[in-house]
Amino acid sequence: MKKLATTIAILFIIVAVFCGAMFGLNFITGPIIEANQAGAANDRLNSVMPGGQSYTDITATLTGVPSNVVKVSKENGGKGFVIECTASSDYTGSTPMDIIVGVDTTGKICGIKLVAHSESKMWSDGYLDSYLGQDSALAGVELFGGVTYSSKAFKNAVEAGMGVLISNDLIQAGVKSDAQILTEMLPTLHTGLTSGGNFKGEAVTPSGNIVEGYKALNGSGYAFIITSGEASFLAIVNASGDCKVYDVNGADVTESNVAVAEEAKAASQLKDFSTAAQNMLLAKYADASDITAIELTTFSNVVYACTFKSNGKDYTAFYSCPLTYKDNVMAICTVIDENGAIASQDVKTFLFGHGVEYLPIYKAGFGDVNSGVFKEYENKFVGITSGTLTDDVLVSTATLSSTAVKLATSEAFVAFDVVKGGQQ
Amino acid sequence: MKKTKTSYLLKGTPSILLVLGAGFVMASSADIRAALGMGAAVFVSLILSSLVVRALCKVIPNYAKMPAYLLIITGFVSLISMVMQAFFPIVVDMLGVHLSTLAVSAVIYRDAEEVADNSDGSTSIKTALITGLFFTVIMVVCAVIREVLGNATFCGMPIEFLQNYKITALAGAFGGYLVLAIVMAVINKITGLQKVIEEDQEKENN
Repeated sequence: MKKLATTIAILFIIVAVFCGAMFGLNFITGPIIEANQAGAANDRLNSVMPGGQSYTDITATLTGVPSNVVKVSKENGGKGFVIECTASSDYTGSTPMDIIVGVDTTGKICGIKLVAHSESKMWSDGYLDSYLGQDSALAGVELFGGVTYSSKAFKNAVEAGMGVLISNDLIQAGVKSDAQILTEMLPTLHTGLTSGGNFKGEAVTPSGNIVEGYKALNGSGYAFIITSGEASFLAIVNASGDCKVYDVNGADVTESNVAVAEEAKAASQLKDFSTAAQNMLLAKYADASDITAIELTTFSNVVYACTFKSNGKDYTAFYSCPLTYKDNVMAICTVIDENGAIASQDVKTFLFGHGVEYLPIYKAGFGDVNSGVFKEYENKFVGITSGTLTDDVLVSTATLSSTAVKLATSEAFVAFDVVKGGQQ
Repeated sequence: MKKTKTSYLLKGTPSILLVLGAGFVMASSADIRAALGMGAAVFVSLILSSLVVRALCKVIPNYAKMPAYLLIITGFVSLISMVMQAFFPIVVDMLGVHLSTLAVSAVIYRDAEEVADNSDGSTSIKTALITGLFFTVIMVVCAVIREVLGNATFCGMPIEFLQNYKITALAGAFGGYLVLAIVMAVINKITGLQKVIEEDQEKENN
């Protein structure tokens, strides 16, 4: 009992002495540690707010703050606001991006920073810089800078953050030009000029009434911003040379703007896919006969279509070229039978995750494209119809490629419906 | 093997003796600043703990020694940690949890116990001082090798001509143990430390 009491007493005295010492020391170190922590937080915000000193968190006072806007701070010297937001890439397995945006009182972005993210290294050098000086319209943001799927999510997060400032009357909204509005419609109107929702094209030199022009990286067509009088129009051209014209409200005005459509067609230098497509088809159907090309009226990654006969049956083949990882162009031949079910699916340039980097499947140790593993993947499509195409055809280690194949397949079904007289 | 003065001095250094503290060396020697910070923390906590333990060893009964010594060490490590957080926040960020785990480190406890057991107080404090000093020096030597060759930087500043030749494995955990092993081997070769330890063990056995 005495031993226990002594032990407790000694330990208690030691604890009391050190607690006293820590209590006393905290008077000296406490304020310094607090200042250090505040300084570290301010350093983060100062990195996007030139001349910023101290900040007040105003998130709780704002209304309509979406979930991807984490925090809004006001610079106490009246220099502007710092928005901290987050974005998730569409790319499977990627980590969320933490983004800090500094916005001055005139509503212009004065600083932007992406906290370390694995995909940012694949962006072009000037991508983040293209946000500097932009208002909420983000008109000057580099169109092709976002070479990965994450750039779309990044831009959306920045727009959401600036939207909060606008809706709470803290900054003025930027005004979008007609050309910008029309360009932003592109991902939904011509999927061949996009990948994962991101704009994928190569700028072409403007001429005549064309103020902006873009050529699809996969050769699936063109898009032009064309002026006619006071109005601006978006003209899209597909791989078969068909053209549609849209106004700033998104309405199809092709019939009333024939001259615009003709100018767009004339400016398009379309690639002929017939040889590549038929070679791929004949490799699969050696007895194919009566091959007849079809003029496409859809605007997608499908760049060639034809009907043919094999073994006494009628088929329709669609040759698609969606983009995959690092903008590699795929080649997919989807053959659909008379009943609208896939008879065969051939895929080239399928990029498969292989630990360190993505490599074409034939280099990745899975054998060539005729290997059992790959054939099994292709055969999964046989018998699928437009109503039964699901995410089961996606491959977790080849997200971008398998997503592109699924997209091309669904676009082939849409084109098939159009060919068979259905609605586009 | 010739005995040297250095070998007698080094025989108490935990990181090269029983590989005590090897974890700290591995975790804190990827950057010279972190190594200096950890070395200083170990050095100061060793000296202060040894002084207090020496002063109280006659008051503390044998059966309460272990918890009492641990409390003393923990107390000093907490105080040192507070000071470092205030004045060296970058180093504290680099060391992370390893600074706090120093409180339960056998490195310091072993010395505190030795100080308490040794009848000659001044000698045992000197031993603690030398132990702390060599621990710091060895950690800094490891850090110089790992940071310069592994990261191509010196105290965080890039060394341009080494950027294309850096051996990144040295900056990781494997590199930490590898470099420590090499440093231990070199020290053994130069000082004959292992021989001295074996002779001491023979004496104890006899």
